[in-house]
Amino acid sequence: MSLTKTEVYGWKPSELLVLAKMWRDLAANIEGMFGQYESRVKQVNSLFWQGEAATAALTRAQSDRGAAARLADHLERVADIAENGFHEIDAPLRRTQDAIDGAVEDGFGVTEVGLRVYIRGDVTRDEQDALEPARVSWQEQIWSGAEATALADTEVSDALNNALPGLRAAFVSPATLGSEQAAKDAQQLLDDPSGLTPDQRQRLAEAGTLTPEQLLALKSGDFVPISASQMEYMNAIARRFDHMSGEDLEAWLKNAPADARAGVASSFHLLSTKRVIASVQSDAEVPASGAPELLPRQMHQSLTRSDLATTSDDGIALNGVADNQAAARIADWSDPALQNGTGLDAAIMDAAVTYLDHQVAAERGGIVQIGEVGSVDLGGPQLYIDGAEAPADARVTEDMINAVAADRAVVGAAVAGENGQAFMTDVANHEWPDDNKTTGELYGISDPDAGEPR
Amino acid sequence: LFESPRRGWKEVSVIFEVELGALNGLGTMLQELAQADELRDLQTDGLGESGPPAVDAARSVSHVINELCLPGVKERLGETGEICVNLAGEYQSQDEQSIISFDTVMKQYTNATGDWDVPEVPTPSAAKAMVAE
Repeated sequence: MSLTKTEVYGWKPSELLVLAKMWRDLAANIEGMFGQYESRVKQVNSLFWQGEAATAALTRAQSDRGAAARLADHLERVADIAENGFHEIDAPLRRTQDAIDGAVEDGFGVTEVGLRVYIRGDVTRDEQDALEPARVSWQEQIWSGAEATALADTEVSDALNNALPGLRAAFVSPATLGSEQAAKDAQQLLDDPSGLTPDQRQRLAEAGTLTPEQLLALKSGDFVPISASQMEYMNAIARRFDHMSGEDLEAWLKNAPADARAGVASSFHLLSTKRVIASVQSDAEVPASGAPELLPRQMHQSLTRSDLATTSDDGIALNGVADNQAAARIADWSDPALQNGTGLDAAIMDAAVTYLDHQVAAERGGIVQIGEVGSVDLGGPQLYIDGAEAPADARVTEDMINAVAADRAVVGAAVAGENGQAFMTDVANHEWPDDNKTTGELYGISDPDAGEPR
Repeated sequence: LFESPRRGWKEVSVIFEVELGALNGLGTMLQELAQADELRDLQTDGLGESGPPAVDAARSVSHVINELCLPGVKERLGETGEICVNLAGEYQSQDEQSIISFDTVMKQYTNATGDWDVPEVPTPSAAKAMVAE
């Protein structure tokens, strides 16, 4: 980059110091506030609280103070980059200014663009020759100063920009999310999912995460306490999608970046799971625990509708199929590590079991066994999918079962549950159009022919 | 012979109320901190208008602070405060016979606030890897 003369005199690298000071002041303020929090707890403990309660209060306050100190470290580090950056840019910038000033004092002119030093006025050839060494000297000083300034500016800009991902990761934690931030992020998701900022993507992605301890509790079938803030954020996001059907929601969220989309899907899993608890009772914005009913309303209604499958003289009708298949594909976007007995997976599985049972009935309905000779298909009842006639072997449950197959707790419950035997019989009898890929997924084997456990 | 006197329900109830009162006071203080002027958005108006571009990059840092850091800190203080106040309110209205121990209340406080995890400042090589992602 080549600086103009206006830039050489107009640039204010000292503004880096102004910004760095703001960050340092903020770092000190944040640390101070959490210091006050800890002091208050110590004071209360000495007067009123004792034993486990006092320890719990102090442990939380001290751990928050530690977190605040690390947050402050991030702010300090980026302030260091900006302050050092000021010196790196300012020194060559001043050299450039001084060189231009010197050249002008010596009677030379300096162009606005290109910073070319030229001899002013009419001069004779001899005078020009006499001035040339001085002109060349100023030219070298000005160009080398400008080049060093531009280079320093690029390096400082890069260093600051490169610090941003680390700052985003440091600033966002599930325990610091909340409904106000969710309202902003959900509004952007509703307005234009492709326009989510990196900051919003960070929050959406972070909302659907668990700590290793929480993941272990989820896998072990234990209660999974999460922060009220995380529950509040997830619930606020889901509520903004209450009006969307599964199909609409899938089509809409497909426009969001993959990390944000995965975060939303992971949030749906956690929010729908009863074992995920927020430990608060009296906050209207924070559900005390997850529940399938907390999924986006239309999505939940479609998965649990009482007429998922109906049988009449006209045939067998499967209803809500497109929406529920879409719900399954949404569920599949999530972090698979979270799929462990989630309410969303269970609801998808329940719907799939119902669909499969009726689809098999449609397939088998017209087949009559004739002694040991074999069977003859006399034509079974007509299958309708979402109101339209469909072949008996239409793809209905494949995507749904594939989506929840990773959730071994849900698969296990379906197989071992009250209707497990009937379900397994349906699985065996259904004409799977996908070379038994779905049955392989269901039994937890990647290649059904190989018989290897997953 | 020297069995310590057992506390009666009345006394337990009074102690519990005092404990809850202190929890409520802590909550109020945290909620006030969340609203403090010190956590106002950083102002960058007028900065970076004449360059250098590095000042624009620094303004982006301030933007991320305003978008993520400040709302997060305010939420942490405010929500922790709200949890304290709500828990205190929830149990203050319990009748004497159903009084639970204050330890149980504080377990709820620990779970409901959850761990606030802030990673350490990355080493230069780790920061580079993060950017490469």
